[in-house]
Amino acid sequence: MKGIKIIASVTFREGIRDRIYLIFFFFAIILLLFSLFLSMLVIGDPTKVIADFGMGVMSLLGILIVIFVGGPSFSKELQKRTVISVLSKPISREEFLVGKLFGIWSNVFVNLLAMAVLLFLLILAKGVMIWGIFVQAFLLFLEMGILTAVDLMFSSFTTSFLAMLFTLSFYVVVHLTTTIEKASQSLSSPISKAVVRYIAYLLPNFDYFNLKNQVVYGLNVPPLFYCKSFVYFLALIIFFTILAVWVFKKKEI
Amino acid sequence: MIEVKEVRKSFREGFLLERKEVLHGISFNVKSGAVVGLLGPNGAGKTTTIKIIMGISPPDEGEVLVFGKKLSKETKKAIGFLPEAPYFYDYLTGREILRSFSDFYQNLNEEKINEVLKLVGLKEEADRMLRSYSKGMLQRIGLAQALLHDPELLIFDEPMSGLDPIGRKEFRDVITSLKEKGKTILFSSHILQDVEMICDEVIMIYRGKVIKIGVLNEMLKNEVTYYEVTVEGTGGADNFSPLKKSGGRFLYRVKEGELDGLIRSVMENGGRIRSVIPRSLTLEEIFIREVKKV
Ligand SMILES: Nc1ncnc2c1ncn2[C@@H]1O[C@H](COP(=O)(O)OP(=O)(O)OP(=O)(O)O)[C@@H](O)[C@H]1O
Ligand SMILES: [Mg+2]
Repeated sequence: MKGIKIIASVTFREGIRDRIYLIFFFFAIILLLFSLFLSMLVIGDPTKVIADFGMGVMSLLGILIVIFVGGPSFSKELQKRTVISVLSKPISREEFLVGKLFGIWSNVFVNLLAMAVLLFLLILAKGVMIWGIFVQAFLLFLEMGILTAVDLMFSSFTTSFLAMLFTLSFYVVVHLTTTIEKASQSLSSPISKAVVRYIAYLLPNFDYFNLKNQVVYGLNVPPLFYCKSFVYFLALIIFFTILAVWVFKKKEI
Repeated sequence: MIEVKEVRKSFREGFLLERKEVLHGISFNVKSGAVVGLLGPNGAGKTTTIKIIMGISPPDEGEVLVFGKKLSKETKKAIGFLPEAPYFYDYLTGREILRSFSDFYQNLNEEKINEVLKLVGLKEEADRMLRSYSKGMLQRIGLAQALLHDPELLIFDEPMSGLDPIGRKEFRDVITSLKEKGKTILFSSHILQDVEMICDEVIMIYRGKVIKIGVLNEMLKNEVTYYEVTVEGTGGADNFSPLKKSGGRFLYRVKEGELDGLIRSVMENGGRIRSVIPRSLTLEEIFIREVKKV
């Protein structure tokens, strides 16, 4: 446990001081400010436009940080052999990997929180309070935890670049699950319909972490949805972390 | 203190992932309180052996015991390890990395950190980020983290590489003082002079095999000695060819049995003996000879 804490803390500090992290952060702020400008051009309720666009920016920032700061911080430890110094300490490989996961995840947390606060304040300036932004930020946070575990798994057996590519593909695919499912309904052959539906069924579905529309339009979300999301999150993060540990333990360092 | 028993290790390589064995049954012991040098040319398997001892890489066959036990978190607490070309975190300072690592152990305070920083000569640079450190400075911070918790056993992989002559001298002093405190030290190197100066024992490995193990003093003593004789005056000696000739001086190199003959011959020719210096083989020469035998 001590080992996890140490690695998480080192990873967190290392991430937060990384220039790329800062660049992404400023980039996100500029995008948020741009949403103000956008809201003036587009027809419709300006606060809804800002909220919608702003939550999109939060997702983007989350994925950017996981892929360009988190994953590489792990690959770099393997490549520059920091891992050799660290593993000579009283720590197991499992603890090291879980420590990295928590460290990267805390980076994402700080960022999402800052974004959410900023977005909330921007909308508040227009006289509207949308608390749902924090709910969506939290769901994004859960999503990014899973994505980090997936990235660590890929980074354990392939190069930094390929790990980025695979993680990004994973992200795109799991966001298309619902679309794939819907598409299957328009297929004519019953066999291909069944196959595609089955594939969609097997793929993780990240719509469990997406409440953007509900937040923007102020719709009610049944409490059961949150329960499902959370259970879904737990199952996926445990699954991918175990997979990542398994791959990492086989790795020749 | 360390027992390495019949350790074998292979790596999968190339497109077909063929197994290539790099350690072919390595065995040796390191006694408590000894300073032992692990010698071998590039690619001999020194780093691989050390990684197996540290539990970073699992052996295919054989086993390693440290303090008479299999490696565990508890035993790791009593080991200080300096890896080859150590690298830590770019955006942390030297002091921060030591602080973080000190959390692995009990009862380490800021005082201890300062003491170690001073010992490795990084007091001034302690609060700079590691990305601005030079290779030698990284080597020093690597040494600092290995010494931080005052371990009983120290394992260093190529500790002198990247250090300037002063740094190497300082490092040798550190090792000497650790030895005085009764610590056990195993370190790998291919800089033979350094090994010669500080080791009690050497283990030579070559192409994944141990080719010679021995106590350094005995090893050097038992090696055939020769003498270097400087002669002045007329003509030199008959039947002997000088190694060097300059002005009226001749330098001869002869085996022990030939020495009397040479001196007599010089005397008969009316020459004067200026010096007779006994020379034993250096570690380097022994090393090269052992490697050639394989
Ligand atoms: N991860 C790996 N995959 C494949 N081969 C490896 C791996 N690590 C080491 N080797 C091979 O094992 C052999 C021994 O390497 P090792 O690093 O132990 O040598 P060394 O004695 O430390 O050399 P040096 O003095 O250059 O540090 C080399 O032939 C090397 O190519
Ligand atoms: Mg080496």
